[in-house]
Amino acid sequence: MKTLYNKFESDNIVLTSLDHLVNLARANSMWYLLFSTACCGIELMQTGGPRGDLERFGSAPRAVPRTADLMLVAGTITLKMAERVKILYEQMAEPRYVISMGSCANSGGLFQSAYSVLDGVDRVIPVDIYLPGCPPRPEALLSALIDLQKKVKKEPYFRKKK
Amino acid sequence: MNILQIFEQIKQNTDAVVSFQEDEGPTPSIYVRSDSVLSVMTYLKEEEALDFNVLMNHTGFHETESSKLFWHLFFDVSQDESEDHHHEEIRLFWHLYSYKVEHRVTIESSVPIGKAQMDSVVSLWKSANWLEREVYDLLGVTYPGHPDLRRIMLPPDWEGHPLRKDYVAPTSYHGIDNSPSALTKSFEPKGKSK
Repeated sequence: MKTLYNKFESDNIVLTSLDHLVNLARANSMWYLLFSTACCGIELMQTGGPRGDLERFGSAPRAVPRTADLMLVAGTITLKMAERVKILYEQMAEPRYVISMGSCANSGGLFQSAYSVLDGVDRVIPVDIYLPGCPPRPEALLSALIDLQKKVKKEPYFRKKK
Repeated sequence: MNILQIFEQIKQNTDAVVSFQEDEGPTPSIYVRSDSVLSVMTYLKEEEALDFNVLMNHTGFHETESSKLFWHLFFDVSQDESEDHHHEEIRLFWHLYSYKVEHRVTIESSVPIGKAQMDSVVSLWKSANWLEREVYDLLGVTYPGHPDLRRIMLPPDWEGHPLRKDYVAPTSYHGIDNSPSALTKSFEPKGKSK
């Protein structure tokens, strides 16, 4: 067994560490907050559709930040929206993760020198994964989610420093 | 009815100062002096034969000397002698359409940058409400007679009007730092410092 440390034959007994077990559950139930502000949202919908099928990785869309683990920032963030992004992020329960999807959320992208556009969402909230592309394909978003799952699985959840 | 016939109608039936702008810009328009815009609009809507019942769009732009020169390159712009010559002005456009008669017209006007004030046409077309709020938001034209003149897209405490040519983009907003990063600055042409 690769995922669980040791499994006894035919006895329904598994030996593993609690960290590992909890992380396995967390990584495979990354509920994400529906947060689309521009065309990246269309790719996000495609990823949720039958071809990408984001839900096979245990990622279900949530309409409320309080029940979400992951914030997918899909699209251009204006200065007016930046304050709302911060409020939504603060409403999410810990542990919380952020994927910055597309060039606009990463750095302002095409609209970087516009008067009303925030140059990267990392100026407001911490970002775990930066996903390049304008917009990224559904496969790229799936790959970002899998990378995030790898990161979550490595975390010492019960020994986390405050 | 084509735009020339409409122009003749306005000229004969109202005492407004109008001129026909044939060569300026890609589409012909009727230039109306700013103080007679409301009377021309009222005539266009209420005259039976014209019956313009839809305001399709209302927009504008900030015209400087350099942008005038740009137009001179492509179109033969005739100087308007009857109008006081302002160096900078805001040009406003109204696109009208009639569903009944199936014809359209473009009305044009301008206000000086120092006294950017235009009569509101909300009393004629309800769709003017949000369009005028947008022009106020981005160009800073005020409309006396507008029922609810607030910013429509930018936050209410935003400073300045972004589509004016002398506008400088803010580097921070409500404590959020939005100044260009070192990487962004490295792409700027050398010798240019901000």
